[in-house]
Amino acid sequence: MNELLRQFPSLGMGKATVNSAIKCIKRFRKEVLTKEIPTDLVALFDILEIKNAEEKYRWSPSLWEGEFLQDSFLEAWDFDPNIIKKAQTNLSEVLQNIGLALKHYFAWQAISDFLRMKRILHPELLLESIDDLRCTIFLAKGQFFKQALQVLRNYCEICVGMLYFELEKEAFTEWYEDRNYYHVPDI
Amino acid sequence: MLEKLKGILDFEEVSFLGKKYSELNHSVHSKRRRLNWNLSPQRITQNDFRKAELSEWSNKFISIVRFASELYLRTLFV
Repeated sequence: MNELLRQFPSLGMGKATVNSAIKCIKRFRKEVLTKEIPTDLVALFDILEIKNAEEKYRWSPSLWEGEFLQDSFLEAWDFDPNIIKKAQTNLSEVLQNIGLALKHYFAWQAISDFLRMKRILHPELLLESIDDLRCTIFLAKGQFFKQALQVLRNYCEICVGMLYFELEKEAFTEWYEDRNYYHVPDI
Repeated sequence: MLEKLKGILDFEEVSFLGKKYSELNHSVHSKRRRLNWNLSPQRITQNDFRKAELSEWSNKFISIVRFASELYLRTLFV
């Protein structure tokens, strides 16, 4: 392990567990989401030993918001009845892709919640990363595609930023205490 | 920031992040031009516009979030 890597806190889950979690994410299936949390996502929660995942990812009034989020894409689609047949031909493929994207969103939520719970990395940044993902989903759903990609870019920046600030603790303090003047370095 | 993280991330990871970031920049800026074409009434009626844009967004989303999840698991969970 190199010196820089040693500066990072570690949860000590072991290589085997982490490799299983990575493999699980890589094998996420493209599928249309239903009321149930998908089995491959439940498998990831089990590997990471996240208890009460259903309770955790509550979206009132239902327990699991994946289906709601996915359906809201359909509502926003606002089909013209004259062309609905043509559109439906490709709809399943698009929805499966959205389903896969949403699974990744929930996986990231689990990972960042876990880190926040264990007080690893700065909670402000972890929460912002989740907000960014949620925001890009809602923008894409509303067909604001350019803006959705802008927010996805923010997510990309914050993922690099969190690791950077872990190595440069003084920079984090400067950013945190002097938000008006401190400039985060380019990616 | 990536420069500083070179000691932790390997060459491929740094170049993946740099490439994805620049792709996102490109998409954001080029959309200002592309949207004019995409929003033509015919393409809206055919739903081609929404399908293509949604596919582009979801593919980028999946690729970046998957990479970040793996990176964080490997760096902080082991």
